[in-house]
Amino acid sequence: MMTLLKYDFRRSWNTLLAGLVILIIVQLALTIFVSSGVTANVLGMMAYVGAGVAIFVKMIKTYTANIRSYNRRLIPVTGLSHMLSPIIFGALCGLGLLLIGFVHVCLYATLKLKLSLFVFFDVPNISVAEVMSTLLFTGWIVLFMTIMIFFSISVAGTFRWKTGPWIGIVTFIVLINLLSWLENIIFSGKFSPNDLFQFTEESTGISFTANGVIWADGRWGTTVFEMALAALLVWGIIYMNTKKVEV
Amino acid sequence: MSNILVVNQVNKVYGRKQALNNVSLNIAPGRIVGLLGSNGSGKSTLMKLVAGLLHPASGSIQVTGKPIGLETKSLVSFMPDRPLTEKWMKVRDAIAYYRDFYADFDEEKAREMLEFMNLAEDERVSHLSKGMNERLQLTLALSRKARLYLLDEPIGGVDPVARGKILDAIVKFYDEDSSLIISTHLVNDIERIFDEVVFIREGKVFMHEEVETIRLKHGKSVDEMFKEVYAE
Repeated sequence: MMTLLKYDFRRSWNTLLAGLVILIIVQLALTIFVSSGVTANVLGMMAYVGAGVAIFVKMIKTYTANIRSYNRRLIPVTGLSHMLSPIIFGALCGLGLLLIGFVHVCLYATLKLKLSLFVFFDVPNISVAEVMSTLLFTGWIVLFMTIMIFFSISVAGTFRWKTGPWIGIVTFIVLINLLSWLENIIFSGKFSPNDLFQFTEESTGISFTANGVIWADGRWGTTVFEMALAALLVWGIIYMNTKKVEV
Repeated sequence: MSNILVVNQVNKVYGRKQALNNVSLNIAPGRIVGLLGSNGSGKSTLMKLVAGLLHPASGSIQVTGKPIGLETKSLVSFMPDRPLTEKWMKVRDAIAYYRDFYADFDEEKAREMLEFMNLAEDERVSHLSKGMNERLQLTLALSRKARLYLLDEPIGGVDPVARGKILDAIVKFYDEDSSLIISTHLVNDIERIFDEVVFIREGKVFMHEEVETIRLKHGKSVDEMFKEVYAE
C-alpha cells in the first residue's frame, strides 16, 4: 500500500506544489497589502479552507482515477490497499496543511502581534484533551464522509452507462439521508455535529467556541453505529471494486 | 501438461450487445496464439476478461488452474490497447513502477529490451510517438516472467519499421515456458510467429487450429483463411 501511496503522491506532486505556492503567495499578499487585520484574517482563513477543500477533491479524484485506470487495476494489490491509499494521501496532505497553518499562526503571533507562543497553551476553559477529542471527532466525520463518497463512486463504477455518475450522486444522497434517518430513529436525535462548535456574533466581532466532544448522551452510540456502517461500506467498496467495477 | 489458460463457456454482455457468446478455449504452455478477428469481434473483451479488468456474465476463466482474481494478476502480463504508463512518467519511472509492483519483473531484461527498442530511460512517456510508446508498453509487458502474456493489438497503428521491430522483440524476448496470446487483425504481418490461431467472430470462437493444420488441411495461409472467414 505504501508503494501505491508513493505513486499517488508522484502523480499529484506538481499540483500539490503549485497549490502550496499559491497558498503562500495569497497569505503573503494578505499580510502585506490588506491593512485591516480582521479582513486579512478572514480572507486568510478562507484561503486555508479553500486549500482543504481542494485536497479533499483531489483525494476523491485520485480514488476515481485509480479504480478506472488500467495500470492500477492490473497490479496484484488488495482491494483494501486501493481504497486506503487515497485516504492516507488525503490525510497526509490535510495534516501538511494543518502544519503550515500552525506555523503561520505561530509566525503571525510572534512577529506581528508580539505574543509569546505559550498563550496558545494557556487558554482558559479549553483543555488539550478537549481540543484533541474535537480534532479526532472532526477527522472521523471527514473519514466517514470520504468512505460514503468512495462507496457512491464504486456504485457508479459498476454501471457502464453514461448515467453511472448520476447513479453515484443519487446513491450518496440516499446514503446520507438513510444514515440521518436511522440515527434519528435509533438515538432519537441525541447528537448533532452542530453541537461541536458555537459561533456567536457580537458587536465586537465574531467569536468561535469549540465545545469539544462529550462522550455522553448517545454520542458514543452514534459513533459506534457509524463505525459499524463504515466497516460495511468498506466491505461493499472492496467487493464492488473486485467483482463489479469494470474498466 | 495442464493448460495455462482455460476459458469455459464464457458470456459477456454490454447492455443489449452480446460481446462474447459461450466462448470456450484451452491454451497449452509454450504456445504463441493468434487471437484473430475483425474490429468489434470480441478479442479485446476476451483479453480484458482474462486480465481481470472485466467480469464475465457467466462461465469461468482459469489461469494455471486458478480463477481470475488477485493471484492471477501475478501470473498474467497484459499489454492493453492503451498505455499502462502515466503522463508524468519518464521511461525510467515506468520501469520502476513495474519493478515496484511485480515480483517477477526482470529489470535486466527490461534494460536489454530498451536498448533493442532504441528507447532512452530519460525520455518522457508523453513525448514518445505512438510507435515508440508501443515499444515501451511491449518492453514492460515482456520484461515480466509471467505464465501468460496477453498482447492486445501490439502492432496496430504503427509504421512497418516499428512493426518489424516489435515482432522481432516478441520472438526474441518471449519466455518459451509461458504462453503468449496476440490479438490482431493485421494477420499478414504477424502470422509467421503463431503456433496456433483462434478466429473469433461476433463473440463466438469460429475456429481454433494449429497454423500447420490450416496450411496442410486447407492449403491456405492464415491470412488467406482470415480473409475467407471475415469476407463481407
